[in-house]
Amino acid sequence: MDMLPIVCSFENGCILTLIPVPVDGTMDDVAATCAEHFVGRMLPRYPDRTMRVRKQGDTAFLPRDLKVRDTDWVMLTTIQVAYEPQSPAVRH
Amino acid sequence: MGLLNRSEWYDIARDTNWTPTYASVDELFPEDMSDTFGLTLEQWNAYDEPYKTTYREYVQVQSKKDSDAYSVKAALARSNFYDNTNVGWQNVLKMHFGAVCGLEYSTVLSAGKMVRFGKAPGWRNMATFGSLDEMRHAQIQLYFAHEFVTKSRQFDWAAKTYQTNSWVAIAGRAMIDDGSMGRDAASMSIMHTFALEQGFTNLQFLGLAADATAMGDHSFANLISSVQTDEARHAQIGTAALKVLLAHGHKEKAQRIVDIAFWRNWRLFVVLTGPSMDYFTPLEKRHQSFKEFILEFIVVQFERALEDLGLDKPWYWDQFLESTSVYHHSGHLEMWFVRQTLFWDHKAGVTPAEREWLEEKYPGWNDRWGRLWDVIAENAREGREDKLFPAALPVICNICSITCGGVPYDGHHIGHWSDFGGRRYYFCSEPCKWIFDVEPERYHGHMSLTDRLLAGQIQPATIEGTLQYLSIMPGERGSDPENYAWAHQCASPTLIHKADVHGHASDRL
Repeated sequence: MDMLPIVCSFENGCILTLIPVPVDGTMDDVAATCAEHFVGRMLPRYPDRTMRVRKQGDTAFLPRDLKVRDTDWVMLTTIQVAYEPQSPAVRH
Repeated sequence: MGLLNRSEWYDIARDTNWTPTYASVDELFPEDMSDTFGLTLEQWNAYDEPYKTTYREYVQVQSKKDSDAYSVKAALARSNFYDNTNVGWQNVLKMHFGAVCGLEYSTVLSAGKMVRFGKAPGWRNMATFGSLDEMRHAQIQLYFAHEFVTKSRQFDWAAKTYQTNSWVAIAGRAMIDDGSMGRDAASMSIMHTFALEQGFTNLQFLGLAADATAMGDHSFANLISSVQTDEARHAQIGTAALKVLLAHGHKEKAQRIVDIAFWRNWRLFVVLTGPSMDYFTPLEKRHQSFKEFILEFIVVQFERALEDLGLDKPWYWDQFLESTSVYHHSGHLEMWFVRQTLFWDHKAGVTPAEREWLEEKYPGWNDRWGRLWDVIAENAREGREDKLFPAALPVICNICSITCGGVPYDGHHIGHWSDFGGRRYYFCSEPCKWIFDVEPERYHGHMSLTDRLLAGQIQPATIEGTLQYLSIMPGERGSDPENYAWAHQCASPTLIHKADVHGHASDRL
């Protein structure tokens, strides 16, 4: 499976992490892959809430069924994973 | 001819110089090695420093210092202090020796460069003694650390840290090679002796010696005091050089160099010294927090030094002050998580009583870092070992080589970056990004651990492969020295957040 290393920040986390994601995966897959490195390790798990993905700097989340290969992501693209419908404060 | 009085004698010894005849000044003092500010030899003649050390006095004093430190060590050798001291302090010692001994050796060469390429005779004189100081510091600290190798293999890192790819070594080399080795002697005098030694290590060693005394570790306290008094002297090299440079109108460049160096030193200082003071030192032995120490000693002293010279506070001063409440808490938690990469056992230091202290010293600590520790503590209590280690690498800053960490429960931590030469560089902070942006050609080839992983240098690209690359072998890898006993104390619902890792909102009880 082809993987793309991206940089992920997770809502309320404090560590920017390098995470390989499957290029054939959807945004839901990306969210789940990234969550594995934060949720249940340092952050609480909220299984009844949907995790969404957006590119760093964007306000809108990407469609859940969008595949990585269909985005403009390149190696080290920074993404955010956050719970819907919370609108996280973005710190620059 | 009568006897010379001391000051006349010293001036002859210090100011002896010559006018080159058989080689040009540029050949003797190439700009890149000596002075990118471009001052002449005559202008450097104004160099003056307060200590006026002579060889005779130097040897007498140093000999006594060395004898005292070794004598105390010998006298206490049978006390079994190490075996009986607190586990947090044991690991302060491991961290200190592993991080410092190799850097001391590097700075022998740093001072040596000033001996050869400094343009003022008084400067070369001071740097000669400084170089000898650093040799003594490296050797005496290696000697003291060696005693403990039989107690723990981790003390072996006193000798080998800087021969490995440990992230601590990479961060240390990145800082020292840039500021203390790789620049012209004039810039190095500012970055190394003024910003590092006068700014941090001189005062840090004062604090560390006081902590050692409070712990009853008189052997280490004597050692550190012995080192600190040298630092206080040779740290004056940079102040004297700055006076000359500023007198000749080079404030802008000098200021920039101070700003670069202070931040670089701070980033390494904060992740090592912060956890030592606020998490490793036993609660009953703490007389002030890391932040209080920084504000009382580092900030006051450094601000005064800048003001006396006519320099400004670095442009990021407000960010620096804010970071005194933040960086070491995130850094400590991250280091605990990646403790296998460390050559010391990283004490969590978050029992209910310790958390109460942290909340008192850093209001809001529980609502930020405490909530993360709640999750970790529950995993530890429940034996979820796989959740107590990372499965991926944090992104490492392309300047300071330390993780890009932020403040938890503050939205998203996104880091900072610059695009240069067709690739993206990540930074932990705005000042680290600024340092890169000022001179990208200087830094773009420095490979962080993240870069090395992506370049295929770390094989296999797994956590175990990374540990092998760092040269940290089983038996040396850091662990939780209390075997999670602290987590079981954290089960008290009256003091902590409810550690909710299973699906309910986290409540403050």
